[in-house]
Amino acid sequence: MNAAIQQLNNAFSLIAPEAVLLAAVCLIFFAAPFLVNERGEAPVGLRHRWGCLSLLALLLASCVWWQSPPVTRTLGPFVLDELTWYIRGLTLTFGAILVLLHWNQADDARSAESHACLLAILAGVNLIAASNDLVGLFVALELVSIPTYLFLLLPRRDAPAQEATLKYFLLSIFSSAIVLFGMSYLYGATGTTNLSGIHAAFSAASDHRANPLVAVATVMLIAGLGFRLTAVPFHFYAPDVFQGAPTSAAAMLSFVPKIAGFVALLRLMVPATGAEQAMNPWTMTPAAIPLLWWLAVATMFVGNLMALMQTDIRRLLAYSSVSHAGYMMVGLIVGMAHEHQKADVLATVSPNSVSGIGAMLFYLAVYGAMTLGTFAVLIAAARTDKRIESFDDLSGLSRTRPAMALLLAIFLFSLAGLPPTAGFLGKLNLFFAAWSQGTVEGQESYKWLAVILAINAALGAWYYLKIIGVMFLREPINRSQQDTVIETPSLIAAGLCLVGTLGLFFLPGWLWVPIQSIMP
Amino acid sequence: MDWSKENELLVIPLLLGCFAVWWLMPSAKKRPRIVGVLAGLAACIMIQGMLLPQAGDYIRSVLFFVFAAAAVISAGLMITDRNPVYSALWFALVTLSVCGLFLLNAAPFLSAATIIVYAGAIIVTFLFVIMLAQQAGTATSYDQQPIQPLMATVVGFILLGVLLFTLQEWGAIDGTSTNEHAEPRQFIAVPAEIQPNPLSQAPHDNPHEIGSLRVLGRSLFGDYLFAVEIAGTVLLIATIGAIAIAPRRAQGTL
Repeated sequence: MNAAIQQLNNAFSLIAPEAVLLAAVCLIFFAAPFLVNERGEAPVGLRHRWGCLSLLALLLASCVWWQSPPVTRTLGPFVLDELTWYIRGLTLTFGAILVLLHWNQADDARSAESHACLLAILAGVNLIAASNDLVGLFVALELVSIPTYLFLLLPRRDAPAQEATLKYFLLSIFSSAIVLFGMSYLYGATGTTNLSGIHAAFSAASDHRANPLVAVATVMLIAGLGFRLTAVPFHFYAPDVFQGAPTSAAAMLSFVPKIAGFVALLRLMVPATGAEQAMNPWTMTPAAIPLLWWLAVATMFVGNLMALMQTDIRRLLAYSSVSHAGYMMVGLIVGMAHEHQKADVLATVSPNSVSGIGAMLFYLAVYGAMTLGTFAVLIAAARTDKRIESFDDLSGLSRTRPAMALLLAIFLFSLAGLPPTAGFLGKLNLFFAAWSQGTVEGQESYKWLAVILAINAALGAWYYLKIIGVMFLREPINRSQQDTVIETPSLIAAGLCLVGTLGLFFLPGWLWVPIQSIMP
Repeated sequence: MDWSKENELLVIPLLLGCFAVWWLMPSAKKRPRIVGVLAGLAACIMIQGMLLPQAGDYIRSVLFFVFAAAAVISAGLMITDRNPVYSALWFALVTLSVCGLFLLNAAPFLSAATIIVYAGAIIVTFLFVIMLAQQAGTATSYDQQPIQPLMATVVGFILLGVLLFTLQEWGAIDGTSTNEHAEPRQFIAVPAEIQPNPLSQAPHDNPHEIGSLRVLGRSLFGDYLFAVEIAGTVLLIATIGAIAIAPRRAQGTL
């Protein structure tokens, strides 16, 4: 009893960075109404102050994050292991970039609430990574999705934004219900909501026949979380929402829900201690792997083939984010299959081979840098009267704004997976992880997965190169120098993403070393 | 062939029920409702043998059938009713019947909470929204007729079928199910030495206390303290967001 209370008292120190972020959210919510008058007008330039405050909160949270290293896992409500630590670093870094992207997207009067929502979303992702309980995991997932609805609608109130928000809202609620259904079956099969307890129960039952309840839970959880990953067939909202939502919200949607979904899947399906889970029919892995295999193949093909047909740059990026979710799912599947192997089978694989989950986590960071960079250039290259929508808006960009065109070209090269960018390294890691798992006897299907990944990388290169062709080979249409705006925050964000995209190619060990400590 | 013979108890009522719901769906041309009603009743009667609770307690069986029949019939009416207001009210009845089943299974708190949350809050909100959306009073077609009645019915019954089939496979339904290889340990408990969520367990000196308010409070504000706090934060954001989204008086309505 006393030990339990002690554990609860200690739990707060495990989520200190999130507490900082949520305190900042409360502060902004409380202070904002006093600075806006009754007609809804705010002093000019107020948004800069809210942006600075958000950055300050993220900086403070980062300091706390840096000073709270991973600790041993307990049965308490939160865990702070290497995975939590890594994901926290990822969200805080890319959170700062998202704040910069969002800087001028909302008007002065609504900037406060939308920045607060962004901080709440980031805190929610961190809490998903830290949660050790089904209830806490679900509440953290809601802490991501409910502020997202506001974040989509607050900056702009026109009809497309309303339609996008409503579509996202309805489908997101539906997916939350499915996740909850799956969690209830998981609770029914094991009798506890504690994730460590659930995995302990699984390993205690390893000599029993597989339980259909766990299989139902697995299918439901993958279906519900697949919505956040934009896995096919749960992707169909993505193009409409990306097209209608403000650019910064589209950037957020292309990246943050993917971290949330992948981390939630990792927490639910991959136990912290791998050894006793090997060949256990009671875990979620036997049901999850075939399902995820087909979902990943469908996601890669549908994302890339649909992207080939798009003429709207946002819809194209939406389908591109779908296909990248497919690439990352390959890493997840390979990692889960690896965890499920017996040790003597694993000994036949060369010890230097890349771990699937590590490759996925590496690709997640790389994908964040390159996709947020693309959106940053789209914001920075917009004109005063019109944001960038179709390919025509980009045509001849190399003549009118050569630096922008070069930046965008680098990010697109990285998305296509061409050297010398980090996207190349990320795809190579995923390919090698899948291929080396495929060399294990009886696991040849992973070789096919690697081949399909390679085919899709080639398909993807086609449409990214098409955009580059439009920028560099076509004549500019009605573009003059006068109506461009200087978007300093987005330019800074694009610069940071550029550092990430190129830097991770030349110094990948900088990210790879912390990742390797996550999966032994 | 073997498979279909083994599972005909499950498959035939499902097909009948699917047909009944599809037949009763509101549609442009009038169908005689009696056909659907008969098919639905036949489906319910055929499947009730599978769902029978453990034999023995007479009162318990009667109560189970009353609540279960009320839940299934109200659910069917909720889906097939042409008027959305009536659908919301049927949904309230479904919730109340299911709460009765919860009470039968010795879950009084769950039952009370479900009544408060669903019947008290959610359905009232539904009614508000429906009435606000239909202010003009004109009978528009978009909420009078389903867009994809066949697809929706078939997919819904496939889901139901898969769930029922899984539960039958699991073998916990009852002795009359076709599962020959029921194992005694279909549940697996967490190993005793681990003790997750210790504050939610009944105290050692009084194991009967598990359903009491004291244990509930200790669980909610002990093991789940942080979940409750985060849920409070989510509600705060939702409330402030609703205020921020609503247009100001000076800006006119949406």
